[in-house]
Amino acid sequence: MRTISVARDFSRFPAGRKIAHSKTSGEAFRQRFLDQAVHDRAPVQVDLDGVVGYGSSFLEEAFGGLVREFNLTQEQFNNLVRLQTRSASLRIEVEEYVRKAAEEAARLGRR
Amino acid sequence: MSQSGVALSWWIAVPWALTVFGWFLVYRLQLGAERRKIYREICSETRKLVFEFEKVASDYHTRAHEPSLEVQVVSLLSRIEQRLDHLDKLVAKKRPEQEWPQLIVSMRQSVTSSNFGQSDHQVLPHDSETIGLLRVSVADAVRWIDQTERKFV
Repeated sequence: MRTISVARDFSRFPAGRKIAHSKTSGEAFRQRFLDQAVHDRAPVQVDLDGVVGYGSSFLEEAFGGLVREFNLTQEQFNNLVRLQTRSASLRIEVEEYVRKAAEEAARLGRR
Repeated sequence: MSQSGVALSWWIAVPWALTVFGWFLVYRLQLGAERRKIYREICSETRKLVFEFEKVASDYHTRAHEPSLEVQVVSLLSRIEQRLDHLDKLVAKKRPEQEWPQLIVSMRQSVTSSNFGQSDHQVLPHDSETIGLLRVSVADAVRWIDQTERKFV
């Protein structure tokens, strides 16, 4: 399984939601690393440690955005993306965004 | 040894035993007091970090865009998380009801969910929803620290 370290492979200060407003945004991270993993159905491990800190907008767009973009269920997300972090709060927050995005996708009806 | 000799040696041992026991008792009490003092200092330092976070986050949203404050906000959150994790391990089973990771999530979401880390930064009024959520999340965190600190009094 491929491991992506946010700090090493992307940025030590990931922040912001959209590429238009930040080069180190959640959208930029998702497009560069996660979208391909879903296309290839190749599970990836994302190492969240080692950065200065995260903005919620980054986390929501990177992980919740991935669920929205590909209409994933929470289970499909968990099978494709493994989170690695020592931070309990990051894990809780990302799980919350994934769950909400999956619920929203289910409510709107899947393609 | 005669019976009276045994009784005599027993009486000589009593003061020594009492002295050792007294020394042990004082040592344990001093150690406990010292430990509680260290724990209270950790609580106090963590509380200061939370208030510093509140100030920096408030400044960030209510003033012109200052990228260095973004770094400070997330950096302070990381430090607060480490402290709360440490405190949580110290109090073990006597922890307050609210789980501390959720406090960090609330603080992070209140400040960084929108209008954060982007070029189109907007100066928000002091009575905006973002500042309101910030105050609430900080109050929750301080309450958790206060409750934890009471375990060490």
